Amino acid sequence: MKKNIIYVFAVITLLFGCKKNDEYIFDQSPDERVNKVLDDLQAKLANAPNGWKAVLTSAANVDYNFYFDFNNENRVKMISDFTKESSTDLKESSYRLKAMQQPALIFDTYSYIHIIADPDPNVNGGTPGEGLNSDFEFAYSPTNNTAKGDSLFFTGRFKGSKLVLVPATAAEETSILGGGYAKSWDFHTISAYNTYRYGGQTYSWNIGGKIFTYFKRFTLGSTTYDINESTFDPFAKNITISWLDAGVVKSATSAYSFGLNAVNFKTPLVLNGVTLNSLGNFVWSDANTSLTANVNAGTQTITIAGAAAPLLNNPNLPAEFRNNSINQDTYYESDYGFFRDGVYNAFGIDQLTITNGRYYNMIYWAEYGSNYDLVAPLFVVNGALNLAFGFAGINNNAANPIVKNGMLSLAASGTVGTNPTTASWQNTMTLLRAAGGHYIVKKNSTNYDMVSADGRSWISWSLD
Amino acid sequence: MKIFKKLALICGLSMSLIACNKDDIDLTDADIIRGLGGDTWAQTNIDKWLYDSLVKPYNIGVKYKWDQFEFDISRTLIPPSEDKVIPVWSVLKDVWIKPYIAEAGKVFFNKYSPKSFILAGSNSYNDDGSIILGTAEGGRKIVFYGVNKFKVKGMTGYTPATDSNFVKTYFIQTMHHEFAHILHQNVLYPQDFKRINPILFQGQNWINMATNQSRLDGFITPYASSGFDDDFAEMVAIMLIEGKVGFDNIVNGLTGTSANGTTAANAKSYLRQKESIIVNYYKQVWDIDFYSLQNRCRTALNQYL
Repeated sequence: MKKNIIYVFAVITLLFGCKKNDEYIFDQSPDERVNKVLDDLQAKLANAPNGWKAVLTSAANVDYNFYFDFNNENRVKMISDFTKESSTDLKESSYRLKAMQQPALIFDTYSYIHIIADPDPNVNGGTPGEGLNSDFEFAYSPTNNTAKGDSLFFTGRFKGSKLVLVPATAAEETSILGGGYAKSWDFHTISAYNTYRYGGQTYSWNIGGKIFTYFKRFTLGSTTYDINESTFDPFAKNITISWLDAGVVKSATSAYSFGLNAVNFKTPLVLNGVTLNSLGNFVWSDANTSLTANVNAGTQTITIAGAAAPLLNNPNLPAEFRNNSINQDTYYESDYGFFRDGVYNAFGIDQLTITNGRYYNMIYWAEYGSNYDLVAPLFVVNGALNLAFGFAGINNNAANPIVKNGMLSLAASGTVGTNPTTASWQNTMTLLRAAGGHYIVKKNSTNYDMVSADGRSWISWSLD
Repeated sequence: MKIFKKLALICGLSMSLIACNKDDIDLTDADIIRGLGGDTWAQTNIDKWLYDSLVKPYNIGVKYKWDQFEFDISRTLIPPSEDKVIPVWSVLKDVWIKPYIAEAGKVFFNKYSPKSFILAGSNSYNDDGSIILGTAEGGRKIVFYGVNKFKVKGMTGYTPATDSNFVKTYFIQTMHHEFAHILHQNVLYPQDFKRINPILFQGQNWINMATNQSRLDGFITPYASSGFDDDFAEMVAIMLIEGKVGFDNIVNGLTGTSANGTTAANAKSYLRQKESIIVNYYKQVWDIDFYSLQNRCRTALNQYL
């Protein structure tokens, strides 16, 4: 009996336990709160009187500048410093704000911001299937955005890149729409990356390089500085500047990003008694093949021009380069042949063929024969690598040493196999046996650049 | 005692009934849920065109604005460029929708056509370096990749040497291929189709086959040799994009012997047997004159290449 009453009360308690309590921990429902965040964000985006200046930092830590002009009809106009064209041509596409796990800003049809994220390497030079590790779908966290003034902070939802929007001033908007980022592109005129050859066609790198020598030189104060192709990467926006201090090479390295008619070094470059924060106001001279720039937004200028030789040639490198190959009994490889006068794969060596074979890569094999080093193209024949012919640099110690005067000299030469008369291969051999020899520039323990004595041609070798 | 028990039970029951008695559900709150019923945005000419040209007549929806949840989230992809949406669908309408409707009628087409299409701007890259051109899920949803590379005759930068093949094989062949799958999933092709050259199928090894080697084994493409259903879908697709003349040229041009020892004469016979089964299948099952359909598809495609 008593038991029964307990059951009854238990059932009643259980049933009344279902009564809901509609009070929220916050003063509004989650839907109301997310709507408020999105509505506020929409109003902020669309109401900036001069649009937004933005910096997108990819997951690979490269900065790209943008300008956005949002309206209330899901349309956005943008400028991007990714290419010279996108720096000047305003492009319109769509965007929307969406309540996902976090409130999100989605650039939902293709525009400049997607070029960086595009997995197609032909679009941005990135990794196939990955692109340059960037986003076009961004999470917006209102708590991250308090107490930071007018700026808006976003995080990429897929790769984790960062996007920071700052309201542009009228002057900045005028400068950007007038091609301010395009003028920053003039900095890349000091690169050698102008065009490349592939599949019998010539393509542009979109870098716009105009100084075709491997080494570049400028003077600041009383010191001469060197910039060279092994440590200047306009694709990743990274640069090393080196100088001689009492006969010793010193250097400073930094990533950089474009400003308005300027490049800004992310870590200030501490040079010989002077710190470089930025270069700007670029003036290219066709007559002198040189670029003049203002230092640290001041009145002092530097002029960067090409040079035939390095500041200091390390005479031990040619032997080190060869010994790596000899000691490990393996070869160095390079995707293509010579980079020459601003043209990568200048002779179109990928067009070489043999019967049933297609071009694979180029190799350098020290002491391939008892008295010669081999430089040759490899071919793929029926799925296997095939060595059909090649260039032999004679190393006959007394009369013709390959390492001579601190240079790698292949002047005394012969051939292996039946060498084709094709211009691409004959021109390559002519450059290999150039009388002045080649500088060896070390990038790291397995990567070396072989640079001709006039500084106009080089091959980048990497140990297999 | 007994009565009390009953009473207690009734009491409990009635309380539970009362506790369940709710007010009518208040739906006014639903209006504030963002995105309920799908994303919305200010309509553009593209949205209007898609609605008038595809949704209204065929109940086909095309999603071109980015929605991550439509894709494999392990892949890096990007949305299509707005200026490609209408061109892609004008072409698909001409070379796929219209020929089928002309041959089999709108009821047939609307009943069997996939209803949901998703566009991606870039290709989908596999780890082995190969790329995916299109995917189909259960005959309902088809994803087209590489839309930003779409160029047909008359568009700026159209290069016949590369672009014509791209359009033909990436978009049109994929469309015909997937639609053929839907047809045979509704009514299977005759079993005889599987008995033509069964031992020559390659399964997963199809990616290592060269086109001419596959054809010498009696498969119209390497992918056709991956399985019976794909053999069927690839045959239909290639016949429809190449037309009768093009298909005959492929078959009649075979010479030599394949690495598997199939002679050209046998390969030709295999391909002709498959062709004949497909033609009969279309006639008997769907009352479609395949050669007439083939003619319409190829003629329509020709104007864009």
